[in-house]
Amino acid sequence: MIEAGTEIDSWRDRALRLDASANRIMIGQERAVRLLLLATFARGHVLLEGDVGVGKTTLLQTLARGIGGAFERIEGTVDLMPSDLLYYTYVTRDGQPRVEAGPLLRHGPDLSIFFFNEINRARPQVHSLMLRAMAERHVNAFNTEHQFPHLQVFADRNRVEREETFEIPAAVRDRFFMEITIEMPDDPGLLRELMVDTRYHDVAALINEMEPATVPFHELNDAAARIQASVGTSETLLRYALDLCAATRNPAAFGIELEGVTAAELVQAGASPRGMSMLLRAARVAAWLAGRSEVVPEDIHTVFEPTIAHRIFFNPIYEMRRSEIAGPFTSAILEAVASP
Amino acid sequence: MRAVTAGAATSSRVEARQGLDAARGGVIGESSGSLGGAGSPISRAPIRSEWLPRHARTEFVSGRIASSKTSCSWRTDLPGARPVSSVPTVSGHVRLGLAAVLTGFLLTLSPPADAAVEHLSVKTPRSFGYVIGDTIEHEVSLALDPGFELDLQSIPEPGRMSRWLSLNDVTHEGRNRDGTSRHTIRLRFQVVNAAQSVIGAGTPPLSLRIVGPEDDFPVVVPGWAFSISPMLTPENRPPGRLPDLRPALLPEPASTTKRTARVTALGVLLLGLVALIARRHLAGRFGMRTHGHFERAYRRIQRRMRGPEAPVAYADVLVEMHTAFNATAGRAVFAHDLDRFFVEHPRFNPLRAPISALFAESGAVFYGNGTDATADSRNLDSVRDLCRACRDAERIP
Repeated sequence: MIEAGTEIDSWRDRALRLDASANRIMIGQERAVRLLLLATFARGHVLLEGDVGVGKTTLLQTLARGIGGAFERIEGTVDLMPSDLLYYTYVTRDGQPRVEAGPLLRHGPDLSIFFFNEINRARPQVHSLMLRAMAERHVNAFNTEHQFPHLQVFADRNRVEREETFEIPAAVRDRFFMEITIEMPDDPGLLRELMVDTRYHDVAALINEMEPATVPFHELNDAAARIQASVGTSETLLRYALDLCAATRNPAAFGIELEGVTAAELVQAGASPRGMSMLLRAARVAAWLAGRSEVVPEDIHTVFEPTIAHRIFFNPIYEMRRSEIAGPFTSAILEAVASP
Repeated sequence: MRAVTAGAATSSRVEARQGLDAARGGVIGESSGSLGGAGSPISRAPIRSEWLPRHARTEFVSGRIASSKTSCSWRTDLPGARPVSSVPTVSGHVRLGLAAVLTGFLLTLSPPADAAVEHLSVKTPRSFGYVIGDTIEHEVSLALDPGFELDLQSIPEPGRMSRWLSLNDVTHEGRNRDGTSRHTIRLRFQVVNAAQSVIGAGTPPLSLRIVGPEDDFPVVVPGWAFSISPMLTPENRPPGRLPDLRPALLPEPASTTKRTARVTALGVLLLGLVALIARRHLAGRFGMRTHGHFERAYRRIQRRMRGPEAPVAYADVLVEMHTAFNATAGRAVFAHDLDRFFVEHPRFNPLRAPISALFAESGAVFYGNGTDATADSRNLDSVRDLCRACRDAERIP
């Protein structure tokens, strides 16, 4: 037991080193880096959302380098088809047609991070292939099943454009462990540094500053399972988590009020059972990273918005205003539901 | 196509019938009519439409054509209508009324052999001097013999009629008495284009469909001609010759009654607020009873500790404290956001250390593993003392 404890501790040291290292590169994004780390140690897929140019892609690339393992990326476009992920065809110099494995299959089971840039530009067909790869960590191609036991999908989408984009279906959105919103740092000093410092001009060089493969990716699954087993949850906390999820389904019953929103009509579907289990899974990792052996409400608060907000489906009249409602709504839930 | 005149119809029933037969199902283009003074005998002479003077308000009444009741008259009830010199003397039978000039709005009918239209008249306004924006109202009255009905689908829909005219509103009233159905159709046109010079325009012919027992046939109200004038033309507005157009209307002064009401409401609100604050902050000082959240918690904790059901659950006492904190803050307060609580409620700042300790302790009890929830009396006493201190802090103005 003590051995397991020390191993868990050594993993925490590695995680914190990764955290510090990433924060040196991504300045002013401590929260996003921390949440990405939580998702990595909970073995969850992450969807990053934010305005253009806030560093979504850089952040994901930085973390991918820190985690190590085979890394693949693809850009979502309107004409991207599922087969483009699986294989590509070309004609060799001597005129022979060739079929090669595409980005998803190229590294076989060693694929550690699959980075899907601008996922909402891809069509639903592609989303459904990703859904399978994300949920079951395998796909069928060339008459065989290809396993990706260590696969973690990082996807991003910008929230500025809606033209030529496809809204990610609810089922795929629910598969993402977290949806992290990247905001521009408020601190004028940081903004000044970002503008002036030439270090931020060359993104490739910047990412190379990241210490590579801080955590061995093929051990992550094991470590994640051990983290989950090592962190406890009390009865009071479970009740609190259940109350929070109930509040996402029936906000009016918890006296939640938002300006310009009729609480009783806001939600079509609240947090799913999967969402509820993901919330607790993320909270356990947060507790572990904070050096606690028990989950406390603070851990839930840390992960509540990123793990739950994208699983709440608003009524159509409010869905268009998701970006302005979701944040205040989750905050209102956290303020309204008391524990103990 | 042979024209039908009401006047001719009176002369001979047979002749009228023949005319009607010929006209059946069609629109009579070149129509003729008769002109008579108000209440004057019906003229029998045909009149061509271009001879007739355009005038202000014309009423035209057509009778049942194939019957002896047949009558046709145009009346004007325009006050001050004068004889117009341009009215040609078409026939000796034409008479100009004393106060009315009969004008040329011709109505042609094309009923079936078994004529069904008992009455059809159109009331129109003056036919000259319209400028952009003016509205023109026509009232079509129609009475049909038993067994005949107006096809409501044939009533025109509002919309743009021509370059000059838009039909803005159409209302229809129908009633049935003794089998005779009477219809009133009101059409409101509007001049929607500005003319550069005085020009002639007209409403389009209105074709109403009558559904008979045997077959359907149209009744056509021909177009009504009128003139549109410019408001100003470049040549009659050289600088200095005509006054400039009036300046734009200034906004009306705002009504002060509303403002007074608002000020009163604000005053009442402020007074209420002041009273509330005074009560909250001064009540304790003057020995009045307050109902602070910690006071309530303190009373409950004391009741628990004095009560018969010992040992008192430590967790229950802690829950009382949490409830009081949540109620004070108006939201759920947690250990990790206590700082915000102290910023929002600085009166509790002197108690920062014991309050933080209480939250840490509570965290261990509720979220830790296996801490004994029934603590000894020392713990209970300290919580009660903290609650009393919070109650006192709550009373600080």
